[in-house]
Amino acid sequence: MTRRREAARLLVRSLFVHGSINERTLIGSGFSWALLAPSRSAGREGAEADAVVPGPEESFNSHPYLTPLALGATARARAEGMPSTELSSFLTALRSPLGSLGDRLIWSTWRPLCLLGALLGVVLGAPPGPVVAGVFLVYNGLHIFLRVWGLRVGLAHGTDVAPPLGAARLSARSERLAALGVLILGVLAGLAVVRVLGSGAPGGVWAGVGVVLVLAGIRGGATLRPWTCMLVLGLVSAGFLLP
Amino acid sequence: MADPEILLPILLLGTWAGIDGASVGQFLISRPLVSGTLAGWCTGTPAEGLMLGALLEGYHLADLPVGGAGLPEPGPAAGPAVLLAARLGGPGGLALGVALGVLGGLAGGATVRGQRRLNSRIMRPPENGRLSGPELARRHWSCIGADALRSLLLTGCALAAALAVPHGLAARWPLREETTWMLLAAPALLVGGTLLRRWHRVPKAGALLIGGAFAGILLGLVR
Repeated sequence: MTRRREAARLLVRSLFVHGSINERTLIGSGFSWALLAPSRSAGREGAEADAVVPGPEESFNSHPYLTPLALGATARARAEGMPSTELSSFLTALRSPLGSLGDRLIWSTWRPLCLLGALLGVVLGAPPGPVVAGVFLVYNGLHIFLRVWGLRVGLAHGTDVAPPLGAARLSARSERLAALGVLILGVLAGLAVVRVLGSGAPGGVWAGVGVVLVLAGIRGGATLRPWTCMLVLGLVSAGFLLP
Repeated sequence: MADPEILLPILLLGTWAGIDGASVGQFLISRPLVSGTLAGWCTGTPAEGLMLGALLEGYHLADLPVGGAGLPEPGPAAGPAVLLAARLGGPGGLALGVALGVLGGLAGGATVRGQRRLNSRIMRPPENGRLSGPELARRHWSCIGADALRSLLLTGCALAAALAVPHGLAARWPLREETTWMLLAAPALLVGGTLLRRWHRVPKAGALLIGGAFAGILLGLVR
């Protein structure tokens, strides 16, 4: 198998790594599975190939979009004959940065930013097709880029991935994207004010309720998450049950 | 609305949304804004699907799938929610659709936690050593298959609920459409506050927020 085909296979397999995510090894078993094919393609067959991957019983975790970086680095280290114990230590050291960088860039910033952009489109009356196609393409543009970039970095640098990972300045980019998110939140708030005041409803009451809810969200943060669903269900129930 | 030509695509879409959440790809199909709109096309009401999906998205926008957090899974139930809203129509249908979407999301979150426990059992290593390559591959695909089955069942149950709600119930909803939208959008403000808290360390966050608000007011007045 050529190196290019091997890389393509790793990239495709990276899409399925989280398939066996579990409480004990997190994505350790999926990670081992993804590395099976390159191990075999390196000329190791049968039981030897099965023993070459980091054990599926070993725990590992990473943000899904940065998993290809760890896969590439491991494949390269294995091809260079790195002992299993050293490779295990490398993966243990890598899991925390890959998790926190990815969580901060994608889950905490990029995903809400893209969806906020889509919500802005909805509020401005954009048709469904462009809204969904736009958010899908923009979001997955960075998603696919990160996977391809990570795999290339991993395959090129092996266990020496820290310098290129640091040079990518993912944290700083997260902050810039978050600034855009704050701006969109402001625009949505402004549009909501105009909408409420122009609806004929008692605008002062709605605005007051809105301010209280936003302040509660700022104060409570993620601890209020379960209450959002309860509030929705409570409002709908009240609408049907109250006289 | 009970035609197989409508139900089957929503069932498959919900299954896709379920495995997209973690097992396969994570391409955003699992988000209610996307799955709700796609379901809207299935029911012939894409604009309503987008609006309902946007409401459900607003409730889950700040969810962070980190540290084993037990989060709702809103994607699979978004399609049945859109079907219910389209079937009943009006503001009452919208309110019931949103409620189904939220309940389905909570149920989905509980099944995800069960799925992780099941995966632990499936991937348990043999007592006499480590898993062989083929056995590892077989078990890995079993986990993905189980997740697909879970998503299929979850979407199927939500669809059954969407079809079981009687038409007369929606007529008991007392509010007009505009007020219903504002009422149902209000809880999303809690989530907006959560995002502001998360992003408050951004340089000049206050100026950006106020500037954005002015821009939004101007945009709203011009439109």
